[in-house]
Amino acid sequence: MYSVLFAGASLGGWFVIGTRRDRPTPRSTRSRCSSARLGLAMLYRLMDERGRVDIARDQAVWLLIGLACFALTLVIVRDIRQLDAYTYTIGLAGIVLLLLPIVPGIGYSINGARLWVNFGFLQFQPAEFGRVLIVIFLRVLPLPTARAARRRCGAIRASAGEGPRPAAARVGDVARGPPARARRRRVAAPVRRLRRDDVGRDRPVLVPAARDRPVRGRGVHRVAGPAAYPGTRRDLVPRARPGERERDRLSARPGMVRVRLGRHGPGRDSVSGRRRSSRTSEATSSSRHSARSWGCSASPRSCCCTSS
Amino acid sequence: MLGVAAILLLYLVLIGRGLRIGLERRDTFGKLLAVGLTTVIGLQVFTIAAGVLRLIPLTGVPLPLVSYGGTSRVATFVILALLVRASAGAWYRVRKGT
Repeated sequence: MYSVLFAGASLGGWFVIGTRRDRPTPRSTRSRCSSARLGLAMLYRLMDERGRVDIARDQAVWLLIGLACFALTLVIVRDIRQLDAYTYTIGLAGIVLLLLPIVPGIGYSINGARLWVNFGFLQFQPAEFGRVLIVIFLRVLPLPTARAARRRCGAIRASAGEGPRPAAARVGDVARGPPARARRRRVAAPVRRLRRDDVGRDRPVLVPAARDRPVRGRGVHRVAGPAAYPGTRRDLVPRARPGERERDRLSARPGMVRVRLGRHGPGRDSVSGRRRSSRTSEATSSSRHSARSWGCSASPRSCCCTSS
Repeated sequence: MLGVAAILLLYLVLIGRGLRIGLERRDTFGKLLAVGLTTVIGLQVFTIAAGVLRLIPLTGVPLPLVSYGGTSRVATFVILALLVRASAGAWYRVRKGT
């Protein structure tokens, strides 16, 4: 009887994972499977323990609670980059959770380990959650990988006076390297189109490829960076605009790439040599320093990496 | 014996998947998060398994998803949910032709 219940719970968990993901990617399917397998692992253990029914029942209840928390996390965290904005808050919360058992009155010890917290209605080990939060927090460490990535990619120049809501750069938009750094090195700032390859990168790798010529004169689109990024939660994950595919958008964390209209208006697109569509140039000429990215609608033909 | 091997293999699959997620992420934060969370689970499994094998002293670390105890299980599920979220989204690597 319990096994039936547990099987139902596992299937329920699987169903939850299957329905709650909003954008399917091939990889999510696989991790779904691994989670479901873990459900089976629990099932195994619990059936083994059927001799002591009370323990098994407790575990079943905790399993259901755990699955509920699983679903809740999936609902709350639509994208893990949301966590990126709250790194320090999360770290502080993690440390508080780790220290919570020391607090006299609510903390107590079992078997000599002072790990538990008793709020009257529930007892739990805050360190378990604190551990998860600390893991999220640890990204602030200056890890060599992050530094290497920064060195390789350069930094994107931040331009001031942007609008309230940055738009994400898209495949086909033009990214431009850091002018200050280029001036220091007395070379032209690397400029190139963003490719499909760049999707998901924090910063595009701004080493001009052979087929990407530098943009000169008119129609230079600047790429805004971290300083222009307002840290409000709404802006963390920009919505896809109509006709825009999710995977064509780039990263939207602080440090995102954003394409902005240059001083002289769009003019001729000096990378591909094609004139912009009339709709976009009209929109940009009306507001010269418009913060809205008007970046060309990700057109497959200008994106040199698309295969289809 | 066979059962233990099966369970360990399941853990191996889970950890391998988690590291894979970290590899395939394009952003630094996603990479760090996925690998970090996977490491948490993996270290716990290692601590228990090695403790049982007398490789290291047995300590009171719960085996994820198997040990008795509510908090650990809930925390593990939160980790799994974060991993699932890390495995999807616009910042995941886009393969050619997909």
